[in-house]
Amino acid sequence: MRGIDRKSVKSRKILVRQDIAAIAVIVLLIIAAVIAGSGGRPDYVSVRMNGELYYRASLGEDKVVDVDGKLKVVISGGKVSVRDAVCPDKLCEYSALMDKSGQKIICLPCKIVVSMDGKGDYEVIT
Amino acid sequence: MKKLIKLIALILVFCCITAAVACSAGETDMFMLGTTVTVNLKGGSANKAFKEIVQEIERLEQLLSTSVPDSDIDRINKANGGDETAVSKECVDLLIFAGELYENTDKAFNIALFPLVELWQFSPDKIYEENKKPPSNQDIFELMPYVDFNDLSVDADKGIAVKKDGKMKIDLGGIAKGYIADRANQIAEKHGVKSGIINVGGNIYVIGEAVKVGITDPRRPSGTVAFSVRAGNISIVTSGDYEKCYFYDNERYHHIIDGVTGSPAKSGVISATVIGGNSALADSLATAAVVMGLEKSLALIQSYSLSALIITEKDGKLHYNSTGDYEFTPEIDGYERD
Repeated sequence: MRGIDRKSVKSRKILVRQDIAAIAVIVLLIIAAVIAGSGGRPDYVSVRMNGELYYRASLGEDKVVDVDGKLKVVISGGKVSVRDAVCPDKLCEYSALMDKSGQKIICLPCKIVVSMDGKGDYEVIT
Repeated sequence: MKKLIKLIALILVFCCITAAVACSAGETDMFMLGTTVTVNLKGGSANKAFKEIVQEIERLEQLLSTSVPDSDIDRINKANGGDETAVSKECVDLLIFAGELYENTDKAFNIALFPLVELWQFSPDKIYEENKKPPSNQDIFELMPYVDFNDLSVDADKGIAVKKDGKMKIDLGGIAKGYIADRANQIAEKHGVKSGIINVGGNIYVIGEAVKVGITDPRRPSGTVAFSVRAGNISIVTSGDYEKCYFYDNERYHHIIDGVTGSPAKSGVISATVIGGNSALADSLATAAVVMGLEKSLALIQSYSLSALIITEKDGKLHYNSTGDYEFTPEIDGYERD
């Protein structure tokens, strides 16, 4: 009867230490990806006109965006508002200063929707 | 080399999993029924479901809108008294459902108030007119004989609707958006969609597991959230006096008309959020609550075994009541629980 070669058994292990380390890294990356997709503050503001994406920008930089001469979107300190709207009722200008994901400013006459993109606050508002 | 292959395989698995997590179909803000419609679906055949939902909403708008020429509703509204108007099965179903709700809400939910809605300048063609002012009592009085829903008869077998008087007009605004949200949810279910949001002008259907839904503050700038509720696989609908309203002599005039007075409802209820599996029912009950007042609307909503948050205003102070299985969490100060 031949003796057991410990070295050859070790080499035939399905997973070696490096494999376990690689799997651990992958698992951590998956967990990080899932968390990144389900938490945190709003990252972007999106402007859609007639249902089509007109503009998308990070909230990190202060700026004023002219939307086709119909209204201006103001990004300041991570908050978003609307001014200089040409619509008759100006309801969009009276909307709350947006700083939470899920919030939207809708200008129905101009068919423009300004929305805070991201997760963590509200999935939707009724 | 084997280790390298294993590592590549693992990275591919990671990519597939993250792609599956991120995969979603078609979020867009469409302008239909005089409002915005947002559809965001994940899982199953989300792309197919999205396309079919958009087509279905466009089809239903052509049938049910007051402002689309030759829609079922437009033809009923333009018909003379006694004329038979052929309408779609969807329209018949909604008219019959609206009739049941007319009775169950003691006439608070009434789709036949459209002549008054026009008079108060809340119809789609007048909604953006400037410098609005309330109509005279005489003008209101003259229209009151034409706002009884029972003066509309519906023959479901023949698919026809008949008005008693030509001046009678109907508007499905308080029920059609909910009906459309229900249809969209049925299509998403058919295509195996796992999660998502269907938002038809504030008539929301949450598909899949519970998410945090914000409820609009009726007295602060639009977009301010007053309460939140976690809900999944269900519809959430809010009606209130803060939408489609104007001010004249410091008085608020809003679009939810009380059929008894012919004027915007003043029941004390300024916002009603109803949660239930049937969005059309939730839609109509939320509208009726603003007309019926707190006690009657809570009792009615409880009789349907639904959940609700009712916000009232009394002496300038805001109060809230709730019923049902859901927990409504205040997000800001300024509300007292009754």
